[in-house]
Amino acid sequence: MTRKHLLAAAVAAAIAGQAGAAETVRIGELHPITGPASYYGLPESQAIRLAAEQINAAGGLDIGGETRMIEIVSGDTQASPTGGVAALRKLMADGVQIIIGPLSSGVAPALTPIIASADVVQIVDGSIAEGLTDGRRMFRNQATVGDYNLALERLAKARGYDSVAIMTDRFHAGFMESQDDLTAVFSEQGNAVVAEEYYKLGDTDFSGQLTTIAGADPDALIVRGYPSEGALITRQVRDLGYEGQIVWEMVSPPSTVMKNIDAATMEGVLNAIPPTTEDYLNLGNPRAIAMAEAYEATYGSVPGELAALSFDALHIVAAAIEKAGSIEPADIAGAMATLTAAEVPALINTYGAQEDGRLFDETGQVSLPGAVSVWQGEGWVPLTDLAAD
Amino acid sequence: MSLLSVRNISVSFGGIHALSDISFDVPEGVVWGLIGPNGAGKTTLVNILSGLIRPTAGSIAFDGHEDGPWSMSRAVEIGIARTFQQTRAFNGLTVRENLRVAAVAGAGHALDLGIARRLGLEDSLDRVAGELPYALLRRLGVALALSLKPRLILLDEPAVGLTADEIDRMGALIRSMTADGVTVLLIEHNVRFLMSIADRVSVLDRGRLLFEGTPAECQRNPQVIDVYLGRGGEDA
Amino acid sequence: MLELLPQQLANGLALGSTYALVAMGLTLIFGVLLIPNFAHGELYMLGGFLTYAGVTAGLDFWLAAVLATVLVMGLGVLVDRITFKPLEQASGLSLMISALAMSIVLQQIATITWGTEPRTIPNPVPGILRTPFASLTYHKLLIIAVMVLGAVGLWAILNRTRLGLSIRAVSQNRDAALLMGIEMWKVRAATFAIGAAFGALAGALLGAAFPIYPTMGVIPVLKALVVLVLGGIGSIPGAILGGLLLGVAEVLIAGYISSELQDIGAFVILVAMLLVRPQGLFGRAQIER
Repeated sequence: MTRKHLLAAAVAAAIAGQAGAAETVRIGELHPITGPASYYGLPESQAIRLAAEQINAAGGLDIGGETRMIEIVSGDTQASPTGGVAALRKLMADGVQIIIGPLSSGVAPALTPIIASADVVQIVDGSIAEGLTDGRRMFRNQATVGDYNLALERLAKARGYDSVAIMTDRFHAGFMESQDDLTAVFSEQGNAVVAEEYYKLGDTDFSGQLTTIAGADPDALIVRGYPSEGALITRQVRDLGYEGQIVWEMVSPPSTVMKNIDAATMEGVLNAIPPTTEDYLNLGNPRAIAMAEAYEATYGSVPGELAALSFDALHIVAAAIEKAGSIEPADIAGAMATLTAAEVPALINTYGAQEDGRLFDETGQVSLPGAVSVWQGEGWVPLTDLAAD
Repeated sequence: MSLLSVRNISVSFGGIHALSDISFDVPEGVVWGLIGPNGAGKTTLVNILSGLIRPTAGSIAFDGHEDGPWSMSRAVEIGIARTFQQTRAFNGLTVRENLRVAAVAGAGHALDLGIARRLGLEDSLDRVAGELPYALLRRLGVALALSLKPRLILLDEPAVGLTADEIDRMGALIRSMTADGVTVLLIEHNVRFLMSIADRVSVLDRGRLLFEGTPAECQRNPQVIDVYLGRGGEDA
Repeated sequence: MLELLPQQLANGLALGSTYALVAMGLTLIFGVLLIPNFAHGELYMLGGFLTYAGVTAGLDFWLAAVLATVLVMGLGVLVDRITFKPLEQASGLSLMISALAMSIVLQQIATITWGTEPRTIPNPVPGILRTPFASLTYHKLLIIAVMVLGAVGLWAILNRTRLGLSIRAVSQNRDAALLMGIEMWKVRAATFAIGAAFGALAGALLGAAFPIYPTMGVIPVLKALVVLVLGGIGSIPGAILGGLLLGVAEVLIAGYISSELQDIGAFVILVAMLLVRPQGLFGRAQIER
């Protein structure tokens, strides 16, 4: 065989390879696989791959009678808006039209205008920032920050805190946007907000703010942000002699928490957020347990707190594709808008159905009611009676 | 045996021969004068001897060390020190600290305040070098070189800008150095001053060694008179 | 609010001590060699990681911290040899670019070795000192103490040893120092080793309370640069006072004005200093050469 023949064969193989690739459905996922939020992002990415492998192993997707496998294409946002935009553009340049993600509430708003003007369908599985969905092309199976605060508000009412202080990560777009609504609800309920302080992701010294808070000595200190800082804040405010109730509002894997604080200091800290993978496991949810076992078998570690959301997101996308019988973004989005929870039997999270039984409301948003858990020993335990100490 | 032996030193900068095939021998304990018009290569020669620049060709031997030319730190180590027309001192440090840098950090012996006394710096020890008047700064330059306890000191126009009294004092100081066993290589524009204290004189002209002999011979040499004394006058 | 002032000042001094500790190494290297060693933050990070590695291998915290510091001192010398020595004749801009490149290389090495997941070392000095006016954790007291001891030690080295005299001479006038027979390579090595020691010590101590991760050195170096401008670039007392000033200012702004303005406040101080006294508290006005 001559060199020319070899070249021709190689070109032919390459074309055949591309043709083969077209047989799969390419689904992009955007999460912080590296960087300061990788402890959320990597498990989310892996949960999506796990769900895809399981669907493929069970025979793939049935799209209008044609069988196709799912191919996951990963984009790393590094938890930064610029990283996120770059990763999204790369996915789109690669021809990906279905996007799952992102996680970070600092990243998501930067992606929205790009996605809104492209032929793409998106399902957000992490960010809680307001205004990310439109019910046409952009959906979310995570709670919004407004929903997010519900559990916290009910807790403060049930416990009848006379005074609360709030410490918020000011780089967290979702928490910052809902800060005014939260304080308004607290005031209505009679929980006087005596201090509102701020910090940012990556800070390590909070002594200035915490001295002020400890000086005000509120019944409860509410910390809204990410768990590394949450743990350091909890430790440092205790060091300053504060003895009131500390309430977190953040998804916080115990492994990350324990890296920054000892278990004894964490004991009794409350966390008011929508249920996490950990909560579903603790509650004995069989689909969560099955997912966790498969996840551990594949990746050798426990699934992250948000893995259930990412796992669900892929199943929602898969169900919408099958329902639409098409891989066109517009068709998938149309099917997604009418999807009911019963049409996605693999879902782990218990979403509240809309009045007409659909999963998403008119704006493409699920309902995901929050709950309160308490730190006992080395992890979170669901708290059933909010008023009880 | 000579203390310093310079053999066939040549140096060129970008094709211009700054020094061509210079050889001479300086015996121990003398004041050796080096004169020549501007651009003759005097400072270049001193820069080579003190390790500031590398010659293109040639070798130097000093006090049994045959490995020249050498680096600045090696030159100090084997006993060669120098001064500059513009004193290079540590302007933010006091005079005492300056002398300590030379003696302790540079040469590795104890600080000898006798040198400060000889140079009339004993009342200025705690003054910051950068604030010294010009004449004292010149003397500090010499004191720094002497603090290195050299066997050979290269003095680059020590009399420039000094008053007549200060020049006399500098001359006496230079003579006293030889009494202490320090050999002196002296570049000087002030020919009268140089002739009054030098034991032997070399004359450089355009990178070449024109003459070598005693001051008296030098003053009589027609070539020297022609290229140097004749042109520039005695106080060029 | 005012009754909290002693506590806030104590907080500020503790925070400022961490800034000062990092800034001292950076300012020493810049002051003596005119090298902007942005890789200082990565030496700080490696001080933390190597201490973590030592503790994980079963060593006592103090022993691990000392070993880490010694290793990072050697690494500091190596960083100079690789990053800056080949650029001896180059411009300051080239030095900066080279320093940033070395930062990235060291961050990547740490990422490959330990991953991006933050690590922590158990606090070797748990507990809190409580006084009627203020309370501080023993860990913060330790950092203040190490900062003070480090400053005294550095002063003693610079003013009481032959090596220190050489370092000061080079920082004053490099050419003159060479003429005095001072060997430049020794001064460079010593300066980088001492500077790296401050970074490594800070990393080891802070790693005992805060997460250790490959990019942990970026923010401290930025803060240290602010400190250098405040205190006067190249001045050791300036680094100490500038560090304490920045720490106290940040805490007081967070405590009394608004924690939303904490970072803006620091930069307002920076800009004000540049306008009022551009050479910094202890700096000498310099003419561009």
